Amino acid sequence: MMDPHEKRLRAMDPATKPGLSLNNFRRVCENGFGDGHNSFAHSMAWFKDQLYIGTTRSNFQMIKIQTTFQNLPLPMWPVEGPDDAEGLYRELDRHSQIWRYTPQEKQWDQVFRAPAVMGIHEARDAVARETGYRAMLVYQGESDPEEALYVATWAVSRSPGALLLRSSDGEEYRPVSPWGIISGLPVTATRVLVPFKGKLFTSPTGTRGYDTKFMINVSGNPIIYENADPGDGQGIWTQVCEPGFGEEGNKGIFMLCPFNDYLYAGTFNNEGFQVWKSRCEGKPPYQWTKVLEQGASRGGLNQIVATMKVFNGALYIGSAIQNGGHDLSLNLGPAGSELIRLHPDDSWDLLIGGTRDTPQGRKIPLAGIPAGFGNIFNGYFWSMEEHDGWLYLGTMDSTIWMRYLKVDSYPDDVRDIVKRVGPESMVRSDGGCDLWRSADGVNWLPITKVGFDNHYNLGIRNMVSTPHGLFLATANPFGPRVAVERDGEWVYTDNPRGGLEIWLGSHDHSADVDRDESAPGAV
Amino acid sequence: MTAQAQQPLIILGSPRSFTSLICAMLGQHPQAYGMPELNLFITDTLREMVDELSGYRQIQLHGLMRVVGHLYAGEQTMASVDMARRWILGRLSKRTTDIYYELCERVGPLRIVDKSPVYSLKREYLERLGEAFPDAYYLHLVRHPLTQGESIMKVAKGLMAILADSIDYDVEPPQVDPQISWFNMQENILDFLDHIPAERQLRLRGEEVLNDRRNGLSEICRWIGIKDSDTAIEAMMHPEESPFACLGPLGAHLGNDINFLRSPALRDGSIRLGDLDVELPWRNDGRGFNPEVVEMALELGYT
Repeated sequence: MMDPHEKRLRAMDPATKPGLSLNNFRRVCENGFGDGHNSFAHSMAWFKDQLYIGTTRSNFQMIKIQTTFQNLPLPMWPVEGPDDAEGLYRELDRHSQIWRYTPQEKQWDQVFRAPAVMGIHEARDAVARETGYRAMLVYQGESDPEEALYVATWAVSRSPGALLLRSSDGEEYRPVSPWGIISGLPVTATRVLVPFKGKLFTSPTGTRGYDTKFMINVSGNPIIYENADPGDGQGIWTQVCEPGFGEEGNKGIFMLCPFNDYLYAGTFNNEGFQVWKSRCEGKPPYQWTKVLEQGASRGGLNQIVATMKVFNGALYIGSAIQNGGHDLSLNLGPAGSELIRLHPDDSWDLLIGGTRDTPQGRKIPLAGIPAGFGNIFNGYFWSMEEHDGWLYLGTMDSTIWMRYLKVDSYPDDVRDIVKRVGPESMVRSDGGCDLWRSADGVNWLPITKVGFDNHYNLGIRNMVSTPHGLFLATANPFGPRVAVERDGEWVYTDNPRGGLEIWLGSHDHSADVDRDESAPGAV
Repeated sequence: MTAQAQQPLIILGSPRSFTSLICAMLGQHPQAYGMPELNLFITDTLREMVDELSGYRQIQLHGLMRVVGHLYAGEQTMASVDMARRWILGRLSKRTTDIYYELCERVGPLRIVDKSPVYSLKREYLERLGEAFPDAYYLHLVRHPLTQGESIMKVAKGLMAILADSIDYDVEPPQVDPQISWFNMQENILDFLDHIPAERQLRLRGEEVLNDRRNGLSEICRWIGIKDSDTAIEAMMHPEESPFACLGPLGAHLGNDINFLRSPALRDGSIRLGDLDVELPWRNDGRGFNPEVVEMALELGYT
């Protein structure tokens, strides 16, 4: 039987150009570059024909000690780690890393490791200056002679603060900001670095001193800032909007995305995210207009705008609930994410999600797919990228927590499903991040629903389209040692499948090669 | 639906009358797009169609699902079958005519070439087709009732004839006899074409088209106003290059005659014509063609 893909192409073929399928993907890095503590590929960029990855380390060891997760009904925390903050500093290498991949040589190099600095706590011990790189951007500011690689750091709490780093060659990373990035603000992290109309825009994702006990992804500073020359070392950023756009419910600015001559901002709001837009012209603060509210009428289950992407003349918006799609402190979820398509005239479509009546009329998911691609544990629509005419969407899928959490911890309806299907059966069939694609935003096909056959691949955190193909980077915090049940006892064991992975999708990859034989990419 | 070029070329004929092969050949023309069996005009709405094509008749949705997968996802896979099901579910309330228009827009400016033998089973199907496309071109493709009947009876022991109720109930026990459906379908087609302007209909004997392929294809091209260059003719000599000229994925593996799907390439050799004055090999009572069948066959140019 001839494969329809192998048919000769017509001069004019109305068929959609084939997208990447599972057989087109090869793993180019596994096991966190050989270090299972490299948990999240938290940032990624294509710079001077090479791929750069910024890691965040030991994520699950970090959240283990956070208040929100203290009383989870677990037989054992999923990964081995210290029991308190002191242990984190004492026992773990928390220095984040930047890695570079040269596709032609299939070569990985560690090009940077966070230095140690004097801690700001009482003991004044040396600490890792940063434990993660949460944003990465190729950008040319006013004082830059050429495009440079900008990296925003995630500071540990005892570090003096986050920094903006700049590299012109991909090897040397110099701080170009004061501590806290924004002069006068104790910012510890940002996930947003977005260029628009000749300026760089950001918003804090974490701020020292703000009570983040129950909302680890907000800073108490839901403000957008701009800077025409972020590399000048001054850290002089200008506020361009009111805090939370004047609405108390907006706890954070989670995403920024230019579209149709406007800058769009998506918020973190427990009553449902909001989306605002501004042309960012004139004297700041700029005039902002609210486009969506109450999570596009879904309410708190659309708590966060996790990702935005322009595709085929519309803005695609993926939602999330913090804590992996189940906000324990607010009792939101678990619930799958939704995908909204916003048009230039502010009208919008529900593509993936739940049918509902809205002030704009009844919304039915045009893709015919329920929230979370039908999986309530797909709690973040985390990353989107356009590649070769297709829109790719990566999720964060917390199904694997079924393995660890006691069933009674879930709401009644979810508990019934879990009991009926069986936690391990759910993990086997659905555990691991999803990757889907669509050529038109409406018709979607899955590439993987099980984390590329690795249930520990929790999410697809970043994707970058390059001339070599589509690179995607996972969050895999299940290293280096993971809890397993043996003969009724929970023990920790080495996990060779823990730690972030990088995959490359390309039509140059023929279908007859075993994916597991791809270059491991370790050090 | 506005462009004249998007009016489809519809091939009308009874099953096993070379419609699959010739549709695929014409569909390879650079200005055309050959479809598998869409079967869309059997009902008014897609919901009615899906309801009707339940049970064993689900296979009659395979062609539509393959087309949707190929056009909207560039592939025919189990994933695209799932996607096509969602595509269909999202359009259940739509008229089948509107679904057809959408496909025409999708492949435009190429002109759809469609053969769905089921249309010839009932006048209402043909009338629905005629209303949807008042300017469509119709190629009436015929085959000698003897060889057509033999071919029908080779498929699953005459299952196609049984499904079309092509059964002689005047004898005891009743006998499967494909000449009945051959006649009924030709009669339906001819009645329908009575209302179609002469310039938009062409009747050809399939045997002659395939025995003299280049001239036959050239004649069809000139008739519908598309180029009959050597390049175009050469493209049409490769029906196996159609994305639908092979078995499809699980869940949508058909969409066309299975013998064609298994062996879609043109073969050398001439196709024999049948004889009207014979004992029918599929009957065990020595009977020949019914008089009305003979009369019809003679009218269609057979002897």
